[in-house]
Amino acid sequence: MNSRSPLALLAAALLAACDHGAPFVPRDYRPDGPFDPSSPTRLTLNLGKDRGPVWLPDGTAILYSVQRFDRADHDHCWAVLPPGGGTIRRYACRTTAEDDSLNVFEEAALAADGRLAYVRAGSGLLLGPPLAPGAQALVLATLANPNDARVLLNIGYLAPSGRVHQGVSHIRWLGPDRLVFVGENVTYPRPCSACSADTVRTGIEIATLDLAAQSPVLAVVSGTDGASSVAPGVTGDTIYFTRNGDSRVYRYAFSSGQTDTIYDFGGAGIARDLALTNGRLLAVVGGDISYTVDSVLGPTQVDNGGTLHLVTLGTGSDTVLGAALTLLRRPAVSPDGTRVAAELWTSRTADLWLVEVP
Amino acid sequence: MDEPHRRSLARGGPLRAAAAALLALAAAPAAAGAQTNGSIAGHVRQREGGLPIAGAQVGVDGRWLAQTDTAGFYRVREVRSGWHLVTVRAIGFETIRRDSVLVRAGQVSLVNFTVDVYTIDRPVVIEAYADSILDPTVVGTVQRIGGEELRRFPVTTLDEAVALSAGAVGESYRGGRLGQQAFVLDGLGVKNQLDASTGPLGVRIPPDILTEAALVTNGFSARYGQALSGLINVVTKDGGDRWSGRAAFESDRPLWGTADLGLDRAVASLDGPVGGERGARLVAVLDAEGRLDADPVNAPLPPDPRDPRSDSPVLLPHNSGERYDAAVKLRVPLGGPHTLRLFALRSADQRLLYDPAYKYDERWAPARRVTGDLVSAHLQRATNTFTTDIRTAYFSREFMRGTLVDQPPYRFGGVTGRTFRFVGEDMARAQDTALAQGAIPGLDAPAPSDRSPWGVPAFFLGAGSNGEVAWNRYRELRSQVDFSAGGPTVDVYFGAVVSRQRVRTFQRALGYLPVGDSVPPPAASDFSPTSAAAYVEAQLHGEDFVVTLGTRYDQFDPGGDVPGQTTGTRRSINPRFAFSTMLKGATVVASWGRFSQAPDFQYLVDAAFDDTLRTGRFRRGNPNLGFEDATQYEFSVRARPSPTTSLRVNVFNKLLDGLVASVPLGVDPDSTIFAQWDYGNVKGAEVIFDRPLAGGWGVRIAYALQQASATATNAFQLVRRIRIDPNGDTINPARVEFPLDYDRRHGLTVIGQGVVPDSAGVGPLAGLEATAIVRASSGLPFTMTNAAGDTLIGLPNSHRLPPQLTVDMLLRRPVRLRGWQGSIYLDVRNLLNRRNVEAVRRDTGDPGLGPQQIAVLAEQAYQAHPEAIPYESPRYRPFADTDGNGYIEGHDELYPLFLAAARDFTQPLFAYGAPRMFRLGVELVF
Repeated sequence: MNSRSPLALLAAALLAACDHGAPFVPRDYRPDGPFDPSSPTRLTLNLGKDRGPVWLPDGTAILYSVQRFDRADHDHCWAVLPPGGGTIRRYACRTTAEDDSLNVFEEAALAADGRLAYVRAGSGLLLGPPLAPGAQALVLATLANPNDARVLLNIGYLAPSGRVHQGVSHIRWLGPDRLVFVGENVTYPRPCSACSADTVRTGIEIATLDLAAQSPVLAVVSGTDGASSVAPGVTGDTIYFTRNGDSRVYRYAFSSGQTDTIYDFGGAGIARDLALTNGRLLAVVGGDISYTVDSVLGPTQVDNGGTLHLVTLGTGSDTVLGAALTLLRRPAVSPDGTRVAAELWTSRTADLWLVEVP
Repeated sequence: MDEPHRRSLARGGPLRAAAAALLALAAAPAAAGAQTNGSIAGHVRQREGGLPIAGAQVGVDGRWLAQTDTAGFYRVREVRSGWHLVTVRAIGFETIRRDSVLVRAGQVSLVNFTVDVYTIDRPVVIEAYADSILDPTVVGTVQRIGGEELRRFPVTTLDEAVALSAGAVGESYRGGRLGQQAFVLDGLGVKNQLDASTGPLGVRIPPDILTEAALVTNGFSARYGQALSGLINVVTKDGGDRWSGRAAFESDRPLWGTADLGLDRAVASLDGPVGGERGARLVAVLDAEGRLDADPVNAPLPPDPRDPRSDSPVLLPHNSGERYDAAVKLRVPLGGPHTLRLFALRSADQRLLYDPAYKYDERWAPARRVTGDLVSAHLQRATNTFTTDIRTAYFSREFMRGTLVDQPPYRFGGVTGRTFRFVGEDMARAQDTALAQGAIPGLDAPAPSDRSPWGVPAFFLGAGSNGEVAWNRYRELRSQVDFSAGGPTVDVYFGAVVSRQRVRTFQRALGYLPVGDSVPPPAASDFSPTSAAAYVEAQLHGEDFVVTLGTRYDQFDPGGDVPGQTTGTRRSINPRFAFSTMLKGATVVASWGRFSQAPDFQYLVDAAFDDTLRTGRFRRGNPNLGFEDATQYEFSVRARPSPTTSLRVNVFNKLLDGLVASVPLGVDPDSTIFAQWDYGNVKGAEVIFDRPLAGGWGVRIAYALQQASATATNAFQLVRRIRIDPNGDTINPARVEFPLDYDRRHGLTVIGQGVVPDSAGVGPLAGLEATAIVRASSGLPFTMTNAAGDTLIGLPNSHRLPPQLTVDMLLRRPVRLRGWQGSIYLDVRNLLNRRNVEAVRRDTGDPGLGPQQIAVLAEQAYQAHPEAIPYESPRYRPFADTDGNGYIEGHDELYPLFLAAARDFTQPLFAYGAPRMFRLGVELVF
């Protein structure tokens, strides 16, 4: 004691105080990696519907719409999943807690700068599960804060073509300020009087929405009648699309206004759910799909999933991916083109699967 | 009393001499009750024959203030509490000085001088002491603690020091609830009149600026009001004649394991002259503390090792706190008898509040900030016959509780160094009730957490806070004038105080939802009450007794801005009386007083809560509440069994009336209103034995026995508790009596002090100081309900918590090296690490729930969420998927998780007191 001055003691105490105990912190109790890593890999086991996967621009995660059964309202929220599967990293819902309405986020289109265009729908639950959404809109937000959204387009709407679009799907960024999507007719047929209604979405035509103007400008792409899916080309001038009941894949150039056929799956069946990557074309073909022209409902395509085909446009070679999975829908190719995440439909529900691209 | 009689008493021994002197000096009174000043009195005599010296001049701190009378007696009134230089001079005598005379507020210090006639080189005998025990002019029950004791004791704050007094339960005194006490700082009342019963004062006095603090529980001067249970009287230092200071740092972070609770405290104080020897005197103190866990608990280990609290059982997350107190005081002599004192104090207290529901999502747990500012000016004109004090003060206190905009990072220990920002704070300050009708931006609804070890959606919350936004601000401009006139047999005190207040409140519950059926509307108020008081008090000094008579007039008017108030100005007259004398060497005091205080202003206006347990979601204010009253009778005996010991016995009976209580409003179980139909009674006895530190040791023993009960007319709708008598007749009880919340029957505090003399010890023991405080008390009452919480079992407060015991200790080793003085110290609280139960659940009477009740909770939670948990869900826990199919499903797999979650959530934490806590300190004095 005598050899140390109080100042030294003070300094020693201050130095010793630089480190300290800490309160407990929750650990990470969640598993890492997929439930079963074999290929193709099942990404989700949700008892509700997991739909519309899109890859984050950097390929670090998959964004998709998840129906949450752990909430009493069963809202469909955004979920962010690791690219190889595992535990959902983050949810984003219309309301943080369950409430007396069903809110649905779906049809995501994620731009490289983090902007997120999607369809937001909501319905009250006081009278039971709704048949159709009470309100629906195409909105623009960011992935960081999906609820801070700007309404771009209330759905349904009267398109410039004079037809009413009751739904939109396959929303894609055509450029920094331009969206392209399929305008749809939505019907709710009942197979029998005692059966529950089904939701059938049938494409009408392709539309674009220009966001550069102060108010978004809606336009219809001519010559796209009966379009069932759309995928943007490498440049914003070209889109690829499919038609209801049609096995062919079309290409449309905005500059010339010309439409041509670039591939025909022929006997493999009806093509839809297009995606392009590195000069290759990905589409769902055949499977459990039917196309009819109903005297009341009009053209109706009921799609319960099909087989995933990868076509190299230069050679025309057609490869079936994940052959064991025959009821896939809405494939999304990873930014590096090595993997495809898609919905797999079983018993009126859907889970996400991951398929390796050769 | 004639002179020979005095001498004969003096020959009877020192005790009797002291008693005689005090009795004689009953004619030299100090003001009763709590104040900042005391008196110096004594006699000046010749050594040969003890003849008195008449006409000798007596000075204090260089000012000649009094002359001895023909009996040689003198008296100097209105001497500020603290150390003083007393000087006596007379023609033919050399000037005699007595340095370091301690004057304590409200009491007489005796300083006697004995000199030889014309023989100035012969020894001068001076005896000086202050004896508040036998002093008959002290009619109040005063338990004081000096600034030096604060430093020696294992206490950190003024509140902790005052809580060592007999009859104190924390900040409750003599059975009174929180807020029934008043705080008097340098003679000026400071009170949080808005929500004193539920919130802190807002300003804290750094102990380093204290000269002394005292708890006065009876007979306090008519000068002071706004209190039913007691006064905390604080006297601050005036700066010294030379620069001095103290710097101290204490921490527990050099320790390890559970002893390291992340505590840091730094204190710096400085005082000295500004502008030369006759210039101003400055005192400045900064006291800052940060704690990683501001409310640590000694709770049992969690039952499941997966609970993360198993790793750190004492420190709770999101429970840190930081406080800053800065005070500056300037004393400016204006020449002659005039002195100006300027004082400024700022306190800030920020707390993160641990909430078990947010155990795994602490980001959404609530936080609180309380800031207070006090600025005062005191102009004094003091002569020995008439003293005038003019004081004015501005006091502001702001309270905010809610959800933080973001979690500030810690910079050092538990210190963030940033002012907390709350969601909706601007709206609350603007009292924008229109905007608050909608959901408040930035607040999200809470949802079941998925971050717990159990995963299941039950008990724990995340994603959003509870949505509370609570803000209030209380401001007061107070002006006070006090006069004091001294005469040969009577002293008269009179004065008045006027304070203009402004109260603004805002509350919004469930702010993440718009106002609607289940969401109460925001509550806001803005009104400006005015309070005023006047008093007169006289102390008459007879031959062998002292009579104190006083009365105080209080009034308050909430102002016209309080909706619905029709009563206007409320008035109250409070007479006080005390008689004291000395019998057989003991001082006997009998006192009677009536006291009143305005209700908390928060009870005048509506409030919105999200607390359906007790207050309901909407609480209607009662704008016509009046004063709460108390009438107290007390009988005290004070004696000195030996020259170095004292014994005090107080017996009191206090009648309470007009107590503000929450009662049901109509038939809506969620709505209440405040009424004043209840009354109560506190009676008890206190025994205080004291042997001040002398000869290397000291001890103080304080024991209190009391019973505090309330008589309710309709609180809890008790009059509807009809009974059937043995004859089969229905009895509607007119009233029900039950214990008050702070009815602690037995309380014992033992303070032991010891010092190892420098000469007696070698090495580390030399000069070692040790203080140990042992506190043992019986348990406080609590109310039991049925499991649903909607039916009382028995009467309110008819059950008792277990007794409590704590042992605190402080060891201090002075250090002197190279001109530096200081010390190192170890402060240990709850040395025995005893697990004291401070609260229990109302539905079980135990700190926690029993296994069966937990199982019921778990089953209910499972039934609410029986859905399977898929593998990718953040709720999935591999250990619970016993069949390994990627789903946690069915009762067999899900229920154990709900059961573990229920155990985790219901484990009692704040039911237990603090664990053993250490502080290592280093102190420099310069």
